[in-house]
Parts: sequence; structure tokens; C-alpha cells
Amino acid sequence: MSATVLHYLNQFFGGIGGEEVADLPIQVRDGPVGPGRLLQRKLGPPGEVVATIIGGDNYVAENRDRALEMVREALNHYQPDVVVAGPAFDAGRYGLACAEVCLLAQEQGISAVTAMYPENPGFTTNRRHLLCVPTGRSATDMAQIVDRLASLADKLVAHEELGSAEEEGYLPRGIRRSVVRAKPGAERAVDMLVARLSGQPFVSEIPVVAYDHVPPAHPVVNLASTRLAIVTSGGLVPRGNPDHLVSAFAQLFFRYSIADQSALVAGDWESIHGGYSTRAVNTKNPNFVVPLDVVREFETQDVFASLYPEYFVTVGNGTAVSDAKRMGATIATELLAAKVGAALFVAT
Amino acid sequence: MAKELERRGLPVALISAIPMIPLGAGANRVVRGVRVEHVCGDPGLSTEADRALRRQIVGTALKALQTPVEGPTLFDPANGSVS
Amino acid sequence: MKLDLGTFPVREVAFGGQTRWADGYLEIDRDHVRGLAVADQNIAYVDVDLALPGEATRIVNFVDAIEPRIKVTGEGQTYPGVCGRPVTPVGRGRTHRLGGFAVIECVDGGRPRPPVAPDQDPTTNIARRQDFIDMSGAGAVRPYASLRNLVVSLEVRPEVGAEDRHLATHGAVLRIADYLASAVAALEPPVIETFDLSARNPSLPSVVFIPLLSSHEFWGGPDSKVGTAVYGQTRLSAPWILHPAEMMDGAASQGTSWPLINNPLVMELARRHGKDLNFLATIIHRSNWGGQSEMELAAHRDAQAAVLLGAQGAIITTNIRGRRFVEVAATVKACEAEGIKTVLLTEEEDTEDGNATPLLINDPAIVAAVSTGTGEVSAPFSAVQRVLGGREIDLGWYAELPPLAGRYGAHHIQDHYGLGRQSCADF
Repeated sequence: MSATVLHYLNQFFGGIGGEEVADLPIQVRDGPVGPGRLLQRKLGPPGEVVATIIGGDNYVAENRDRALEMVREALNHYQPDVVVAGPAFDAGRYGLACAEVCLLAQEQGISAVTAMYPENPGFTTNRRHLLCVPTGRSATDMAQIVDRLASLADKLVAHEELGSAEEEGYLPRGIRRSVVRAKPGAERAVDMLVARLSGQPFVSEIPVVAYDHVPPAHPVVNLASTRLAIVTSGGLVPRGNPDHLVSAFAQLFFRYSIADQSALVAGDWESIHGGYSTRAVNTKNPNFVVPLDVVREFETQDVFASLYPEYFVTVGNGTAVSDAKRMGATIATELLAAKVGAALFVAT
Repeated sequence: MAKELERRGLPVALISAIPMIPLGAGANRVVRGVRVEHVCGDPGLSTEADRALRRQIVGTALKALQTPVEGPTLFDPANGSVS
Repeated sequence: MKLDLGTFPVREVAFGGQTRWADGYLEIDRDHVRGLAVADQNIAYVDVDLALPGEATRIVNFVDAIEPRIKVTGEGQTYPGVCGRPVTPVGRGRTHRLGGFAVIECVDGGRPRPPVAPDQDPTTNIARRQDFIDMSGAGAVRPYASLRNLVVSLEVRPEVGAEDRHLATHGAVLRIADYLASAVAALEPPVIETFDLSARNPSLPSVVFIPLLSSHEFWGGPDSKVGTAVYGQTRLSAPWILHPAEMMDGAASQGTSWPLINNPLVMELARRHGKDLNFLATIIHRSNWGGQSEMELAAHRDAQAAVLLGAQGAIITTNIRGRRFVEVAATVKACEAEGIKTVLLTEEEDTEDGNATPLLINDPAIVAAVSTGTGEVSAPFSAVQRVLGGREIDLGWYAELPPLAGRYGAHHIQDHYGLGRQSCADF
């Protein structure tokens, strides 16, 4: 059985020309072209690059739908086992095009693999869904990259389960799974430290990943005419916890009225948060969590217009990030509908 | 959660006793609180002093809401500083 | 300062008419052991059983696991400072240990609770009891599953408060551990290892071990006897600097003791002293401070101590998850800022299908990390035939228990020091 590969290249690697022909519409050629020939040689027998799609970087960027339509037609026509796109190295438009081609193939149930520089936006914007071999900025390591593309393509065709990113040589996709390593953790740690101290290379087992950044909301222009709301993850609820808010792993939030109160009265409220000692809040002063007393002072002085009549509460103890996001989005919808202009969030 | 409010355009001032956590997670306006057990105040102070401290913290939060920021920013009630 | 550690492996264990060890066979006088427990009037009930690796046995109400170790020569008593034991410094002379064996402290709190609440989603919710040890099956993941265990099931009188309960039950198992270890005190150990870390090779890098040990102070107060202790001290304090041999005599113990006295990082570093590193000291950082200032202070004290000791590298660990990871990140950062190269060994969080990050704090200073996994147990805990650990056992404990998700709150495996090979990788 012949493993068939469809290869995607841009106008440059397709041997047609440089920037001046970046408007080249999608072309489909039988067999391998340029680096595709190297790819074919590296594929395990009887792998074959049955066709090559060549797309101008600008054409694909500016005519995305039409370009993808043509790729789809080629996929239907050639019915490949796997799609290989690039390597795109540091070329941004080429990288994005490769990503689109791979995503389209995957949508059609066809495995796909690509290669580009880790900071190429083609990868960074599609990390979770792309199988991508890391490359340098330029084509100097082409042979080595094509080698790895071929080996991954073979595994995909054979429906072999892929090992970890580190083992197989692809870029981490933000999917982490449990594995069993060859040596116990303590030995690995001392080995890693000795390596670090002697200037030897080492590979950290845990990536430091930035949380997604949210652009700051515009500052309040006129606080005196702004409605404010209070939200807290400190687990403060009316004494007796009438809605049974859990002390950890919360998936729900609740709201309690503070409409007719100028301060929270000790004894009427309690915190059921399981992650800190709640003695001070419960016996001395619930305003440590929901600072209603001073918020009302500022309201009386017309520092802001009005306070939303209820505060929102959940427990920030082992909360799943996905649950936190969902709760935040729900509260946001309600506050925006109620013309609230800003929020005070008291965390734990 | 605060990031979700902000994603929808609502400015949020987040008061935390461990600002490193929300700052690292990408919250943009973070106000330093006192202690996890009593974020907005201090039971060791007299009633008046505790209230004044709480006023200072919430006042800093209100100021933060009105301050343009470019990314995660810490507002410290102690010295009215911004970093 | 030199410590000889003599190991008496326990390959077989059974109850018999006396307590003695010979050629790997440990015989235990069961009645005498029971008597040691009830010597404390606060103990209302005791039973004693054996649990062996591979048995379809579950040990519940698990509180702690103690390895019997006894000082043969050299000052002090093992597990110093806890339960009224002297604080005389340890780590010198000779200590004998029973290897491959532990005394398991099981305490029934008296309020029957099922192992998994009926309304909980079994596959994702992990807020359930994890105070048990499975001796076989997919759930036999705790280190104690491969040890021969003497299970001591205890109850205290109902009017006894939390502090006195701890002193009673932990005191009881320490008496039992001492008694068993005394059976080998006068014998010649089949295996003896000498730890002499005094010579420093200037051509080798010098390293310290910085374990963050969570303090029970914010629940029990600074004078609480409960929780992880250093020479009996549980309070939030400045760092404690220990000679590694002090760790081998149990200077850090409780919550839980066995992995501290058998700390694989201490042992690995000590064994490689003079070979590819100089192991200078263990700097114990007490953690779970209430405010960021204290966390940062504790961190830079660790770093300063490491610098003044002459370290070039440090291995950092933690024994608690959640917001205390801020202290871990702060410690890594403080050390790196002083030019001390770090390796962090830690559990990690479930990435929730890409929605969350493996570490709570993503500080770029964390350049070298070893992962001991998320703490998940992905297969169910098999149903068992025998359950030990209490007088009245809820029938739910005999059943198959659902798998454990690897999220904050998963504290069944608790591999804080890299005993096992379980880990995580990017896919």
C-alpha cells in the first residue's frame, strides 16, 4: 500500500519566484516539487508525494476562502493519507498559509504536519491544533527538518500513537499528559542540577507558559457618574450558608443583597472558604472580605454614583480555570446589562 | 474571573493579599491587600485604624479604576505608588 | 559529623510470641504492641494488623507512616522534638533502621464518612477522602504499597481535643516504632552506609536542598504539635538549616514522616557527595505564610543562607499545592537572583485541556523543573477484600473507588521528593 502525501509549498519553495510572484493563485502539480523531492526520498517506502500545491503568500492571505476552496478540491481529488505543509521557517504569511492548509486537512479527517520557526504566527496562533516541527529562522537546516517531517508523516499514516513532543521532536501544543520516565524524579533532579552547573544542556520538564493577556479595559472617565459592583472569591455568605456554597472546587457563584445595608454586621455573615483561616472574618469583621462599610462611605460622598444592590461570591480554592472563566463571563453579562461601569474584586 | 469582566470592557480593581498571583495571571489593575485572612483590613488595629486602612485600600482601588494602564499593574495603598 | 546508617531489611513479617529480627524475617509480639498503645490513657481502642504488598487490602483513616529507626551510638533520639522527645541534636554516630517496613498510624475521627459522597461526580470531582493506602491494584501508587506495614488502628476517648489526640496517637506509634527498632539495636546490620559530608572538593559544585514544608500554624497556632515539624517545631519561622544526616535521623517528621526520613533527594545528594557535587546542607523553608511580604522575606532568607553557606546550586521542593506555590516561585527567583542555579522538583496542575497552565505561577526564573506528575490516578482503585484502619469500617471502603483527577486537591500520591517515575510531558 502506497502512503500518499500531498505537499504544500509557497511560490518561492515551489521554484516559481520570489516576492514578485507572491500573488500567484493556487497551482497544483503532480508529484513532488523542490524540497518535496527530498521529502519523498525520506519517506519510508513506499511513501510517495503524489501532488504539490503551490500558493502565492499574498494570494492566500488576501483570498483565503477561494484559496482554501482550491486546496479542498485538491484534497478531494488526490485523497492523500497525509498532508505536509512547508517548512515555512520564519516566513509569517507562508506559516499562516501552512497552518490553514493543515487545519483544513484535519477538518476533512486527513492527518497533517508542518514545520516552522516557533515564533512564526502561523504556529503561535494555532498551537493547540497543529503538529509542527520546530525550525530555525532560515532554511539552513532543511535536510534535518524534512527528515523529521517524513518520520512524523510515516507515523501519522501508520496511525501510530505519537510520543511526547520532546521524544518525537515536535512543538508542544499545550496538551500535557501523564507519562512514566526512565529514572525516579530525585535522580532526574540531581542530574539536571549537575548538568546546569557544568554548563551541559538540559531540558526542563515543565514549560513556563504565560497566561493569556487581556487588554486592559479603559479606565473610568467619570467615577462620580459610574455604577459600581462588588465581586469576591473569598467565600463570604450569609451565616448558615443558605445556598450551600462549597468550600473548594466551586463551580457556582451566588449573589446576596446588600441593598439596605451601610456595612456588613459581624455575626450575620461567615466565610466558608476552605483555603484560609476564617476566624477573623467570622468573629470580627466580614467587611475584611466585602468592604461594604467604606464603600458606602465613598458612595455617600458621591465619589461614585451607586452600588449594585447585590454582591457576587464564589470560592477561589482549587477552582478550575474553565469554571472561573464561565462564572466571570456570566457575571459580566449581567453587570453590563445593568449598566454597571466598574467592579471591585476582592480575591483570596 | 476578573479577566473575564475586563475582557467585556468592564474595568476591574482586584484586591489581593498575594498580588503575584493575579499579576502573573494577567489581571491588569491589582491592589495590594493585607493578609489572606483579612484582605481589606487588620483585626490587630483599633476599630478606627482598621477602618482607615480599609478606606485607604478601597480608595486605592477606586483610583486604580480611573488610571490608564498598559498591562498588569500593582497599586500599593501603603505609599500611593504604582508599579 | 559522620553517620553510619545500618539497614535491617524486612522481607517477611508475622506475629509471634516475641519480637525479633533474623535474616530478613521480623517477628512481632502483637500483645506487647497493643500494650504500648494503651499505656496512654487517652487511647480508647487499638488494634494491630499486618498489610503486605500485593494483598487486596485497603488501609483507611491513614494519618502517618513511621519507619522504625533507633540511635545505637551518638547523642539524641530519632524523631527528635515531637511528642515530648528530646531536642538533642541528632545525625551523628550510628542509627539502625528496619528497611522495607513501616508502622502505619490510623486514627478514626469517630464521624463515619463514606469514601466518596454519593452526589459527587466520580470522575472529575476530587473533593473526597484520600486518606487510604491500597496494597495492590492500579491504586497501589503510594510508596507504602511496596512496604510491609504494621497497621495500628487507634481511637481516642471522645472528649480528647485535637492536640491531645495527636500526642496520644502519634506518641503510641512512636513507642511501637522504637520498640520494633530496638529489636535490631544490638545486632550487626547486613548493610551499612556511612555518610560523612565533611570533606569538600573545591573542583565540584556545592549544592543545597531547600524543601518548603507547610506549617500548620494558621489552623492550630504557633505552639501546635500537629503537622510537619522540625525538631518538634511546627510554627511559621525563619528557615531551619540542617545537616543532611539530621534528616536521616528524623529531624523533620510528621505529616508524613516516612518520605521525610527516606527523602530520595537527601539520599541521592548525600550519595553523590564527593562524586559530582558537594552536598552542603538542607535549608528547610517553613511555608504557608498569609501575605506576600512574608513569602518574599522567607524566600530571600533561603537564598541568603545558601549564599553564605557557599552554594552554587539548589534543589527546591514543596509539600503543598495552591497559592503557596507563590513561595516556591519566590524562592526560585531569589536564588537565581543571587546567582544560585536552581532545579525545581514539583507536582503540577491539570492543564484543563489547555485552559490552565501546569504551574500556578509562571515566573521565567523557573528554567529547570522536574515534574512528579499531577497526582492523578487514572484507573479505578480496585475493590478489596480486607479493610484495615478502624473498628467500624464503612462498607463503601470495600468497593471499587473512582479514579482521581490530577487537580489541586489530589493528594493521594504526594510525590514531593521524586520517589517515583511518574511525570508529565507535552504532547
